[in-house]
Amino acid sequence: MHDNISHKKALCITFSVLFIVATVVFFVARDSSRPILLGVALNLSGRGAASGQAVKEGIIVAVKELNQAGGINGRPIKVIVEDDQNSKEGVIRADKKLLRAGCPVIIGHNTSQNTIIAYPIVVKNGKILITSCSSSTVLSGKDDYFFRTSVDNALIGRAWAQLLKRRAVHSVSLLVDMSNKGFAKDLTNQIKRFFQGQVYEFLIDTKGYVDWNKTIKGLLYNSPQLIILITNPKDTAIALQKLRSFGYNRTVFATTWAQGQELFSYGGNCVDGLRVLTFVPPIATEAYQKINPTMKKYFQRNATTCTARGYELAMIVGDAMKRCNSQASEPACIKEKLLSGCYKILSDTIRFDQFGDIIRPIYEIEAQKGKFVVNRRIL
Amino acid sequence: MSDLPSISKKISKYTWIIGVFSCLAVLFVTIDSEIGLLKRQAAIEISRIYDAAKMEVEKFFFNDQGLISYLKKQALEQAPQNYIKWIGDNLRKADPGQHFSILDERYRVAYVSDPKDKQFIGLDFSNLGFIKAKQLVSGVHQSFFTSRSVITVCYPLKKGLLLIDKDIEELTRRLKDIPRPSIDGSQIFILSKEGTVVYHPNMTLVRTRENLLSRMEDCNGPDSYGFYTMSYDHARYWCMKKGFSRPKSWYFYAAIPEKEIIPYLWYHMWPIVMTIFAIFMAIVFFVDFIIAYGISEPLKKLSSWLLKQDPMNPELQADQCPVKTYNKELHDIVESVKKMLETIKEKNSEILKRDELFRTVIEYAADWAYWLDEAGSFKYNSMKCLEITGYSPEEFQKDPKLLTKIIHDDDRPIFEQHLDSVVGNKPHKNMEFRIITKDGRIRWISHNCNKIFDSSGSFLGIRGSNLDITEQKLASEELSKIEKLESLGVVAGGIAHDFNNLLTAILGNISLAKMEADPSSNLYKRLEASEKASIRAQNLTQQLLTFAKGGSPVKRPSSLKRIILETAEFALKGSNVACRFDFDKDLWLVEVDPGQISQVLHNLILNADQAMPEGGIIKIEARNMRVQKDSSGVVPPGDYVVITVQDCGKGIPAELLPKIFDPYFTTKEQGSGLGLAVCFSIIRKHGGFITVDSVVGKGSSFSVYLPALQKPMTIQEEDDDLSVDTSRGKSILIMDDDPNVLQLLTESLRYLGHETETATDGKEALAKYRQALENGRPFDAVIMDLTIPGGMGGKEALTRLLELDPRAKVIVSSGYSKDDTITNYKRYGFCASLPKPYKLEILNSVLLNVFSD
Ligand SMILES: Nc1ncnc2c1ncn2[C@@H]1O[C@H](COP(=O)(O)OP(=O)(O)OP(=O)(O)O)[C@@H](O)[C@H]1O
Ligand SMILES: [Mg+2]
Repeated sequence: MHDNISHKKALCITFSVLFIVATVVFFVARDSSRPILLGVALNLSGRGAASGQAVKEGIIVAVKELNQAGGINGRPIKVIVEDDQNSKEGVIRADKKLLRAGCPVIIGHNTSQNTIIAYPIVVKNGKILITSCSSSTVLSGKDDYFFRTSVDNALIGRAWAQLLKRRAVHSVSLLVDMSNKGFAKDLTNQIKRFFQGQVYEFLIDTKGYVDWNKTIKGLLYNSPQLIILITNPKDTAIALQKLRSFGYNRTVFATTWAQGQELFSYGGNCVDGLRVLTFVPPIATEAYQKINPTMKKYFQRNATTCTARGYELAMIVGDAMKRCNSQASEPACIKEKLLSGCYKILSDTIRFDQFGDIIRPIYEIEAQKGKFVVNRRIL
Repeated sequence: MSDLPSISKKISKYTWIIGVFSCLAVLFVTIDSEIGLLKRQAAIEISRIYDAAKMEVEKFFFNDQGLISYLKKQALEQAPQNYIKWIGDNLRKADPGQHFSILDERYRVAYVSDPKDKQFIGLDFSNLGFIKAKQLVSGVHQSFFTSRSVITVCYPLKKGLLLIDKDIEELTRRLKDIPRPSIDGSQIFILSKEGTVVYHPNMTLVRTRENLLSRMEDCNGPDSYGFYTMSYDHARYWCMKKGFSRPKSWYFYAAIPEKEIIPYLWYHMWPIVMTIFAIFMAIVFFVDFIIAYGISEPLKKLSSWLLKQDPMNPELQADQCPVKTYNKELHDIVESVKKMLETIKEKNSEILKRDELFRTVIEYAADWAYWLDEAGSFKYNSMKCLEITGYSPEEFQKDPKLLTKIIHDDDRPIFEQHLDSVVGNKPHKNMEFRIITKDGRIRWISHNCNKIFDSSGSFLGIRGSNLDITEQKLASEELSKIEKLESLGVVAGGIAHDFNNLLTAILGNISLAKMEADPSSNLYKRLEASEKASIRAQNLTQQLLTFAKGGSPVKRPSSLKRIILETAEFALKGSNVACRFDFDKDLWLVEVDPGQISQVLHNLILNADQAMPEGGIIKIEARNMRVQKDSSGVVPPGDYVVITVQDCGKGIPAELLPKIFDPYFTTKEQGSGLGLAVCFSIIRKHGGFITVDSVVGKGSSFSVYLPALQKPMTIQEEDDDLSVDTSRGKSILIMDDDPNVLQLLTESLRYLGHETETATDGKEALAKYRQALENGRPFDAVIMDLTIPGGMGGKEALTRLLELDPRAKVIVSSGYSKDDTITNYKRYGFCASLPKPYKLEILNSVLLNVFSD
């Protein structure tokens, strides 16, 4: 009988120990399997949503790769995507929603204008806002939670000035899409700042109705030596077709903004010969090929530059989070690691300066038969 | 009781385990089949939904097909340059809400449905993916014109391409009312070839052209019902996937969340589950009941009844078994058990009877019998022990050591030695020892014991029996004392007899010498002193002679009171000790020799006096006492008059008590040690007893038990005064073997004026008597000594003499004054007795008596 009791006692103890161990393991496991949230706010349904779509796909591919490789120290990354609808209200709504969800990092947006709107909301909330598409100088030189993998317009402005100077251009016409005022107008100002020659700017707002014939006429009115289109891919394509139809055969330049699939889709044959001053080199490099199998698998198409930019950005964030170890959800830590990191992502080795701005080379690339090739490196 | 689990509990436990497991198994099978059923039903339902959705989708995307074919046909009749415009215009007219554009052969925009878009006419769309790939239905993309999520359906024209943008938000609205699978949370959606949402109830996903396929993970299946399992946003779903034939490679999905399935199943199944559960419970209870009622309960009853049965109990009643059985096996068991019990009962009563018999024999035996087992504790102990020792068998049971503890300290070593030899198989005999009873008395025990073995020779213990022999022991002690005294008496008597004769001669001569001496002279005084000393010596011899055969008392009914009073007064003359008397009124009469009893009392009182040299009080009591049958002690039952002489002197030490009655035992310097011996002897001869009680320092008390007469008799108060008128001139024949005595008597008789003739034995006496008779001068009296060594004794001589002359007056004379012939002389034919040694006055009075008759 005695034996029986001690037996029961032993059983009880074993069970309680097992229970405690199981509970601890459960909580630890739950903690380690608790996903790290990554907010993504992009234009997915507004005008020019195709680029946003591509960036998003790049991010998703990157996150899938990160998670397959074990996540952030065992914790998976969960992507929450919000559509900013390319409108002020949309941006505010999307970011607030992501902040509410508790994302320590928000990747967004895909225009400088939207990023400028998002900036105060996100950064003041102590969360990291990181973008691949915003070059506005408004956001430069601030030691805060804002990061970007796109180059500051000041730098681009300087590159433009250099390019124009080398080409011995003294008058230039700019097509400025004020729907992305934060980028387009800012860049215009920077070009004006560094370029000594005549600058004609022609403002449009693609969010509203654009009379393209009038626009092109206006653009050509001063017979500029060089035309720079500060527009999105689709509108760049339209502008190019229209310029051709107006008999304009000279070299046309565009910005990184124009680097998107729609440029080729809607540009027809007119895209050939378009030159782009950009920090995003063509995707033909070996590094880009790496993403393609995954892209094909999930999205049944190849990577584009936008995809690459999304991919690159997510990889950088993931890397910083990984280096935070247990503080992978802490914006402060992520910031610190982002600043201290050095990334060889797709083509170049890049790093952030103290203000979270990127330092990377700038190329002149040219569209040939439906794709870009590098002409030269400018900066 | 062992700790084994009971059969009923065991059976019940297993019944329950089997019940629960089979219930679970049935439940499992039921649930499994129910899931199958659910899947089948869901598959049917989903198929129906799919059919509806398919119809709706086809209608949505291809409803204008007829119209367009018609327009295409009609347009052929138009001028070629008007072809596109005609189609466009008519299409706009026929379906004003439709957004479309028409491309020319080189895929430049030639016509737009919305006039606002006219500025785009001429744009080159040849690089558009779906146009390049010549797909008739595009993927989901953002409309060039409206920036909305659309699917472009292409209709090749004779010249150019008609592109109709189908706003998929509109499709979502259209499919809104399509039924959903009935399980809560279920969703249906349609994905394009690329996996992009074509239709989804969540409009945001539609608007943002979400690629849902990329978010579905861990796809498995399909199972036999066509269901896949997959996870989406960290939730698991059952998913059914059905392809469209048009647009090709589109898929219809129906997803049922797994977490809703169990509640759904439960909602639909709980009555079944409950019913199954209830049925199983009922079955288990029923089986349990059957087993309990049919097997375990009767078994339990039987076992508990059997446990309660004491086979030693003669009241055992086998037919009172409470078990009712309804099955054969149990019935047989119960019957055989009953039979067995019946047999046991019979045997038991036999055994009990026998046991009773033996017990009776043992318990009624005088022996205290017991049986010690191997360990030394009592296996059996007869009740007799209580009677003998005062300790009950229970006390012995409690403390087996008691057996040796009660033994007298002096006897314990020999008892232990005895026990050792019994245990050690050494030769041993029965033994006797003393025990001290619970109330402190000493009992004599005759003990015998031996080891016992069973038939197989194994040791069973020691059996012993103790017999209380205290009475025999006392009696034999008494007897040996008496024997001792009697043998001593013979010796002493022999000596005293001779001594007495000598004293008679001395005393007689002194008496004669005194007569001749001048009473005032010194000589006379010397003679008187000699006479006194001689008388003292005579007294002593008299005492000694009491032991001798001739000392039997001359009994007659007497008043003890007088004897006591006189003796005490005489004995304590000149003593500083006072006497207090206490007599019962109407003391019973006793038949005693007053002289002897007086002597006894005299001795006792003297001893008492001597025990109190400082003086004190002697208490003398005489009481009637009836000794009861059962009173243990020396004194047998009967009526007695008890005389107690009690002093408050120094007392007698316990170790001396057994010796004080021994002759010559004395602690006094001047003592002879004969006082008590004589008392004892006298009292025994009276058929009485003498006991003593003494406490050292407090005093002693001697009790004399004299048997009382059965019928009271009137006492003839004796008149001891003798008239000293002696007739003179008689002729007397004296016969004695001692010449000194002869001479003394001759001279004494001559002094008294008689003539004497002497004879030394009976022969001579007879011859002389005959001769005197023949001479005509017969003797007037004959004085005969009773014992004449070697010659004819007094008794024989008397008979011959009385034959010769029946009128002969023969006086018997003997030193043994206690001899029966002396005391009861008349019975023997003597006419008087004359105790030796003779005093002249006594001789004279005896003769006077004889001659006065
Ligand atoms: N009443 C008594 N008190 C004390 N001791 C007694 C008493 N009676 C007898 N004895 C003891 O018993 C002994 C024997 O007594 P017993 O009468 O036979 O002899 P005795 O008195 O010594 O001598 P004697 O022959 O003169 O009587 C005494 O010596 C005495 O020790
Ligand atoms: Mg005495």
